[in-house]
Amino acid sequence: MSVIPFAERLRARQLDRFPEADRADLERLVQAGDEAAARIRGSYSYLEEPSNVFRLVPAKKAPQP
Amino acid sequence: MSGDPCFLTIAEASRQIRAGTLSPVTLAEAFLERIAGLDGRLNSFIRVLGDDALAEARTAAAEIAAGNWRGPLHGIPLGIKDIYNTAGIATTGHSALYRDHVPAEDATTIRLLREAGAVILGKTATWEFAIGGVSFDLPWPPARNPWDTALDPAGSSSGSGAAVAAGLCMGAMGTDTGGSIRSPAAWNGIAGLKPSYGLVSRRGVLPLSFTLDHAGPMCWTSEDCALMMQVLARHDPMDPGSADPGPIDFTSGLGSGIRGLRIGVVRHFFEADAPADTVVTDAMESALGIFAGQGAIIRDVSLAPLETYYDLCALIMGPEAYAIHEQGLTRTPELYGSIARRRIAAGAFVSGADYVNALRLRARLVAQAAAMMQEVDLLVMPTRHTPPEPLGEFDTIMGARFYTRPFNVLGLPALSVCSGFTGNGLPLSMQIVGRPFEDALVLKLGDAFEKATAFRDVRPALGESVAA
Repeated sequence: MSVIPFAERLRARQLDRFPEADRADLERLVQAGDEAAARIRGSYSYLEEPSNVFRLVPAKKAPQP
Repeated sequence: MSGDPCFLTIAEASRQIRAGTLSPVTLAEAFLERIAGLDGRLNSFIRVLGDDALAEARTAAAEIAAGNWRGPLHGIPLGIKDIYNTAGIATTGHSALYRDHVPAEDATTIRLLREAGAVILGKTATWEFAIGGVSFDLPWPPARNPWDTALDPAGSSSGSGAAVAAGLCMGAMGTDTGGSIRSPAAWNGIAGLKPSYGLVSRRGVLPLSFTLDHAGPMCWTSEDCALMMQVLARHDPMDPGSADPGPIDFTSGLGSGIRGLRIGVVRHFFEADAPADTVVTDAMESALGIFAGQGAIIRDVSLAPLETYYDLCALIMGPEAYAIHEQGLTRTPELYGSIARRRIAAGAFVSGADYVNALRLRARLVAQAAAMMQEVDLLVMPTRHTPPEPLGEFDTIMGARFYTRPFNVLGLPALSVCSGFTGNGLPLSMQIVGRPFEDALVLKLGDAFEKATAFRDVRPALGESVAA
């Protein structure tokens, strides 16, 4: 859970122009996201798992003229 | 209502068109007349393409008369969610930000539908950029539920769901990042398929979340979804997520029986993790009885807790959506509606580490589900935990959980079908989920259920007689 004031977090993301009327609800959504991250953080061990994000695809060669 | 061509299924209309007993022009005129008469109450279309649609219908009629029938979608009137690019026609995402966005090219799926001879009636309402919820601060009003216009049609493919149910088009395109095809299918009482991830191209569809977005059909029946999938399922090298599983026959297995099919019930989702209304679970049990009566083998199975999938959806969809909209939200936030603005901006606050770890946990859950699905052929559970609720009152982000998001995280094919009605005539829903690229089997079970029940004989009244 972040302890940084929400206004600072907004500024850090260049969201200074975010309408004042929406900020309380945005903060509620951000807090829910923080809680979701906390729930999955540390709950699972990744020691045996390679990252799956990047996959190399074999090159296609143009036919020789 | 009986005899109105607007209440034929695609399969029925297609047979009549091919036989020469129904003209695509007559059909298009009937739908345009019905839209003009009724859509002022539903707001399901934000743009009707009357002249273009009639021209396409005339072309279809001439081709068919000349012996050049292209297939089951030839001359069939469809609606297109307004986040699919349509060449020369505004594609707005239901947002002021894109009010003047006129693409030069069709999305791949739209091109395929046009090549199949479909008639595009217009662009349907959506939540703003497929995330904004029911909003009243946009250039167009939100769609309403044809079963009761005070109720929510669900979203984000809200206009597509409402239009199909109300008989304003025979089928429609939707998109689904967390349930946006299946939820409106559920609350409008129709069939909607979120295909296997990568089976239908997203090229030319305004993106929300690259790894969770799916494009797919919404129709009155599962059979009609199968007919649309036969056209839509094509490898597209222009979509980096596109799969190439080889040719799939979506229709030949329909009607061949479900004896011996192993069906797993994800009971903990709707009994423990997020309990559904009794009327929903009663309909679910009735459906299981029908499947068992037809020879299917039913057993309970488990997946990860529903909350884990919700957490992953938030941590993956959030930053992916914000990456797309960062420039708009930092420079011109006032051009977004309030709900979309808040929901998308929340993704700016997910850390890189949390996003990567969410993707890693996602891979584990995919492997876990694949292992479990060696023991069963299909999964079933309700789609939504309640019947339709009042327009605008349901909070899809912070509100009660429903059962669609796990299958965006897992990428599995998932179909919502109408599983019955409440005592006051509101639709209930069931979700059918298959192994990767076994979409045809998912549709087969949906079709078997629809043909074993009378739920496809009832349409929204809209001030008319109820019996179809």
